[in-house]
Amino acid sequence: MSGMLGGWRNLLLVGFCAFATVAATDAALQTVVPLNPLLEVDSAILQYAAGDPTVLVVGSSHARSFVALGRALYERTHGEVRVQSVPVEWGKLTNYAWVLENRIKPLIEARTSSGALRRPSLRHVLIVTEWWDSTSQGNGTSSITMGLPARAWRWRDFLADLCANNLNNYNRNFLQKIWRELWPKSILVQDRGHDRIIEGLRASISRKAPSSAKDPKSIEFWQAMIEGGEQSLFEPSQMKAFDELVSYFKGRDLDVTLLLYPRMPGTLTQKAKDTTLRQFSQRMRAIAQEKGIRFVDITASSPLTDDDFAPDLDHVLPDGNERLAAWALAGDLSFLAGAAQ
Amino acid sequence: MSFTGVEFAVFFPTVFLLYWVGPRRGASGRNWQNAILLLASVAFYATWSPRLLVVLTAAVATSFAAGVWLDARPTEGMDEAQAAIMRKKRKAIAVIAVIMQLGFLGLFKYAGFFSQSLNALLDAAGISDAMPVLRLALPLGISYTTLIQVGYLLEVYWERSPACRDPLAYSAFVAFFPQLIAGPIVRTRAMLPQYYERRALRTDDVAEGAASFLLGFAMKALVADWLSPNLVAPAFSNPGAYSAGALWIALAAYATQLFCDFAGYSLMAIGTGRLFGLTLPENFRYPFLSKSLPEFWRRWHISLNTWLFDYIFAPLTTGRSRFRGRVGAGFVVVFLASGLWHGPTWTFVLWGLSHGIAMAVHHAYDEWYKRRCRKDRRWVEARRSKPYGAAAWVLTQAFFLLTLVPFRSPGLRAAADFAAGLLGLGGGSGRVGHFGFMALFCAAFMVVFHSLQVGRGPALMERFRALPTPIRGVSYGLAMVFLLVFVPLGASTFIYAQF
Repeated sequence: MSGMLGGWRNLLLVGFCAFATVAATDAALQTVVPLNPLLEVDSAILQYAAGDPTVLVVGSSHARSFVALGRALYERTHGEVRVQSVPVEWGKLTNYAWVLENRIKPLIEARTSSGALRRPSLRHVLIVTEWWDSTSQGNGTSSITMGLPARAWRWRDFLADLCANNLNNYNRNFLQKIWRELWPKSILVQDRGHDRIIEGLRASISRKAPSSAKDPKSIEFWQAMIEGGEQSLFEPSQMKAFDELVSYFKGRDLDVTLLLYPRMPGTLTQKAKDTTLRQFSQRMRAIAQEKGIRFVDITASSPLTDDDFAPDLDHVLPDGNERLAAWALAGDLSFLAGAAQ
Repeated sequence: MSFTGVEFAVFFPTVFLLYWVGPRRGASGRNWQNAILLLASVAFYATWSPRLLVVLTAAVATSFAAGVWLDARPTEGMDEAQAAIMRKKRKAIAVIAVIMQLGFLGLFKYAGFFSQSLNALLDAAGISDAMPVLRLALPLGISYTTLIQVGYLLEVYWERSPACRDPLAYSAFVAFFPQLIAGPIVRTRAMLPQYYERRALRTDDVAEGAASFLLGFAMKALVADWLSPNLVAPAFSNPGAYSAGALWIALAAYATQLFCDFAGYSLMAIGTGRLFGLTLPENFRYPFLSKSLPEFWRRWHISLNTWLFDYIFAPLTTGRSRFRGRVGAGFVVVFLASGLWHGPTWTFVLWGLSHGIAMAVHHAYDEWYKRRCRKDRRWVEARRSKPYGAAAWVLTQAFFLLTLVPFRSPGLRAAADFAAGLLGLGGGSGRVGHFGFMALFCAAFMVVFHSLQVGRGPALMERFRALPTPIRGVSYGLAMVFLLVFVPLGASTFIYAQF
């Protein structure tokens, strides 16, 4: 009996030491790579519910860029203009429409017992998009395996999809989101798949700041992808979703702006500008005119340089977001400063 | 659901707790544990496809009923005339039951292949689209559950093992979720009795089970899942674009990926089994140390190969069929069956045929060599020498590597292109893309993993086990940190789940 107890004691000690090692390493790593919580649909919806924004930004992960713009506007207008970004990770127009219908609309339309709108301040909507959002690329449940619109779901959405499609890589992303939420203070859980720890450790060992150099192969990949994008632009389901988005916002008498998000200059070849990007811009401008919404295309005209973009060549770094916000508020988005009126 | 998915991190502890908190003694304790395992297995299966549970249920019900029927009608104690009649009846029932099991497998896995192949033949004769081509979703693990049940039926029919009369224990035995996706293919006599007793929670089961799971997870999620997109898939999808050197690297990477994927899954299944107090059979025993093909097949996918040799090869070569005594032909039949078991494609047929013929050739060579040895002892010494061992190892591993070309390729044409590329006839000059830290890590992992079984390796392992408990705990903790840093949170599938 004592031998058996000794066995269990040893086993528990091994488990405890292993767990303590993981926890201590996690804490140590956070001194090198601080936690960087990203705004997701759930937290954005909570913020929206708690506040009463005057400007709503809907888009993919790119919508996170407008958090800096919101901060600047809030300071500039002393809280009169309140921007709420709702970033749908890896989202496309159909996903924005889903999030609008299922997550945002109930907040916009919520009323008090007297029948008045509970959050009456919303005046402007920014739909942040780009050519990719209108394509059929990456649709379906088999080809996308990471960072998905399934992260915008609630349990009931997940269970409905589970019943319809069984457990698959698409709806498993919801479970991964829940898993990450269970360990908000752990860099080892939060960073899985992002490689920030590896980059941070590498920089710390070599005593150099993380390199901003971009992988030439990745640049070539992006160039080729954007050049080839014209083959799959304007997929009917995406365009229908866009139409639904605009119709809803216009139906609520909101001022709608369609903004084409900036891309890293190095990924834009002349061919891409002459084909995919031009076609997309021209068509979206025509639709915007037809629907009476504002159109702002800063795909290739923003002040951002290659150094302002993250190594994924897709997302803008924090400093770049600040510069983008200042530039946009001095130009095409200056009207937002008067959004409270 | 997958062992490497986040859902398993919630599913497993829940099942584990429920399993061990039930009644502690006797039949009620056993029934509780079997019921929990069965419910967990059904839930595990249902996450893939609840509708296809019907197929599994039908297969389990028929094999269980057939087993009970066969067991209730032994031939022992009967006079010769009655025994002869009973033998015929038993044979008929056994054949029907086995055909039903194989029928499920055939319908879902092979019907499309055979109708397509027949259509191709008839098309050549000028008759187009003569047969409708069935495209059915393959029930999860059907290749594994079928072999488990056929093995059980044969054991009962041959009166080597009594039938199971406890439907709960039998269902849990066939459908036990860790072995469901990719084996190991459990055997009646070793496994079924474990379900007849209440399992006790023992420290060595927990310790070894957890260690086995951790190692398997590392092999699958760290090594196999990195190699596949970075070194293997690009070369196999477009072999014409790569140089001969790049293709050889991709082929070696594929061998590593396949091993780490499948052996990793097996280790996770074995580890999970141990945590439930069940001992699943070993499925891999350091195959890359093998110096001959027979040795290789005794070390690689052991549970499938022993099944094939026990239930196909042995009856074929020792029974009354025309294959009696024809060992070489037996090898060809067994490996053709193995190829077709892997999938209904001509690439698998080619793979199986290659191994069958090579095993037959090796058998003939072995017989010839033994005759030499009997005449002259120097032949024995030569076989024990290092150069002979090195040459045998190189030949064995090179042959296995080369046969992976059709195994991995999507078709015979693609396999031919890849093979031509290996010989420098492909015309491509591309290099493998990501040949950095992770590639070196994967190679080092394979070398260290196998080295621990030779020379001073086992002694080193013993020294690690003898380290003070806290140091071992810290080592496991650091291994977990390494996995958390390098394994992305995401879904991946197991190669052998598709078979």
